[in-house]
Amino acid sequence: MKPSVQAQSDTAQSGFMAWRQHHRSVAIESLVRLAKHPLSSFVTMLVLAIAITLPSSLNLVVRNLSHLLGPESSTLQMSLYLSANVTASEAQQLASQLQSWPEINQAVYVSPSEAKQMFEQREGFEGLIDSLPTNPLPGLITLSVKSATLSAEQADNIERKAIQLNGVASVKMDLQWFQKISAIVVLLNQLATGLAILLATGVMLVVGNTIKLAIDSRREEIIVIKLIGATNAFIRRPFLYLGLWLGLGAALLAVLLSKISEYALTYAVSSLIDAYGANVTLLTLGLNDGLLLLAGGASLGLAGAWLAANHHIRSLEPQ
Amino acid sequence: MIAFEQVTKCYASGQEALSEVSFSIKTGEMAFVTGHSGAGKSTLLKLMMLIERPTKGHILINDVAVDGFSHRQIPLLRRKFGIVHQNHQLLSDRSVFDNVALPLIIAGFAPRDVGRRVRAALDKVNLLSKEKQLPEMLSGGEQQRVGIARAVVNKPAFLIADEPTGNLDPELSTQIMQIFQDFNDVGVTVLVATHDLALLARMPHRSLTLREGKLIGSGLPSSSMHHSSAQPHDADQPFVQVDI
Repeated sequence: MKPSVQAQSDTAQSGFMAWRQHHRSVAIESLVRLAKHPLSSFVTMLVLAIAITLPSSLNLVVRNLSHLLGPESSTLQMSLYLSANVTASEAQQLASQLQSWPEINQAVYVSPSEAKQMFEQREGFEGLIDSLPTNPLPGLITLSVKSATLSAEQADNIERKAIQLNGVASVKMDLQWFQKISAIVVLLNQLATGLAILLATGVMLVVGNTIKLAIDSRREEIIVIKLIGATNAFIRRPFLYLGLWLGLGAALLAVLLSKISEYALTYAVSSLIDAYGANVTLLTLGLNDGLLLLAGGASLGLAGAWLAANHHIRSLEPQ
Repeated sequence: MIAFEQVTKCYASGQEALSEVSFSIKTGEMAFVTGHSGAGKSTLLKLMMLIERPTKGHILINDVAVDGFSHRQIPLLRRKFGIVHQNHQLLSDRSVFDNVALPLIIAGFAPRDVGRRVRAALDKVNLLSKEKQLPEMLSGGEQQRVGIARAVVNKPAFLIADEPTGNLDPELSTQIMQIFQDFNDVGVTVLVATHDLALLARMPHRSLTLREGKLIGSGLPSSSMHHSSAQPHDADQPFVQVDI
């Protein structure tokens, strides 16, 4: 290596080292500035934390709802009533044909006499059908649908396909319940998304405003270092770190808040579940969710700081 | 080299601060800008630093027209200048050392070089013993010297001073001027705006006299002889090794 090239790479290296050193000192300096005003820093972070906790908790509620009540745990039931002239063997054939559909989990044939037996097991109906001249109950095929990923529209499709089969007189399904649940889950999900977008904007605005105040309080310093030849990137740097720390701190607080409310809620809900004798586990805020919150908080803080710093630093020029 | 070519500056208010001003200061020269307040001295310096842009005409720094520089180019241009302000413009919450170190940190010097250069600059203005103090603990003259140390720490090609002795008594003013003279002696181009005519009379340098925005004279003060200190230097090597 020629000496001049060596010298050049040395300069570049020391330039990079200086840049890294500056980042490190600015990052620490921003933290120290936050720590100098612990109460106001904490209050700002708490406001941000609440804004982050609200949508993330709602999202957790939605996930729990669809986990507890949604299509994963309850299968969709459909009843196919057969015409009176369908024989038992034809009905069995029909059942196995239905069984081969990809959407169908199980197709079970219930003969008129079996239906009569089931009917008469109900209290108050004993001997009711025997008093009639013939058994009025039709043959029946009950379908359970693989509904984990089934939309209401797909359920409608199955119903339409089934009613066109030979020997099927009518189809009934408990679609309403299914539709209601999925509609509520979809609605809550949209609500959580909308809230998340609104509150993320709020977080950026709050961080931006904090950064604006920080810039205002250092405007003389900014003008002086602009005169000495500081680039906007150089001036922006401490404020970006300030935003990053605010966002990260807020996200940490949000995780803490979520965990606290989660414990409180799990206790209340599990006693409710116990009372109904159900055996379910609640979904909680996991490690991945926590990391996602931290990353989200940090990026929102950084983004808010970036927008505010860019705007306000550009407008500060020496006179 | 600093050159103004037919530079006119009108402010938004319609006031014409400079009117078709042309002059040139050679590399290694020391010169004064003088005139009553409002004559356009500050505007002239602001144009040089691109704090303001000329309405008409061109400004050349080392033969490059800088008046059309973009916002991104301005910081690099300003690093070529060391500026001394009348009111020091020191950061009150930082020590003398940190104030002087600012230009080096902005320019991205390695930390080990920063300490060495800051101490050399403070030594040059006899303030090495006060590096840990805050600016407000120093006297006016000392603060001005910290400002000078900050202006020269980056070894700029040009040293620009705006009324550097405005708030100082005659004795301190002479001291400050001598420091500028010392830098000029080692090749730094120095431009000092001042209305202190008594001070000018004792310095053997050219002065550009402004009146109501017009350049009405650019010559040596009548009382002095030509001085040999102004030695032109190659523009590529604006700052010959100064022992600071």
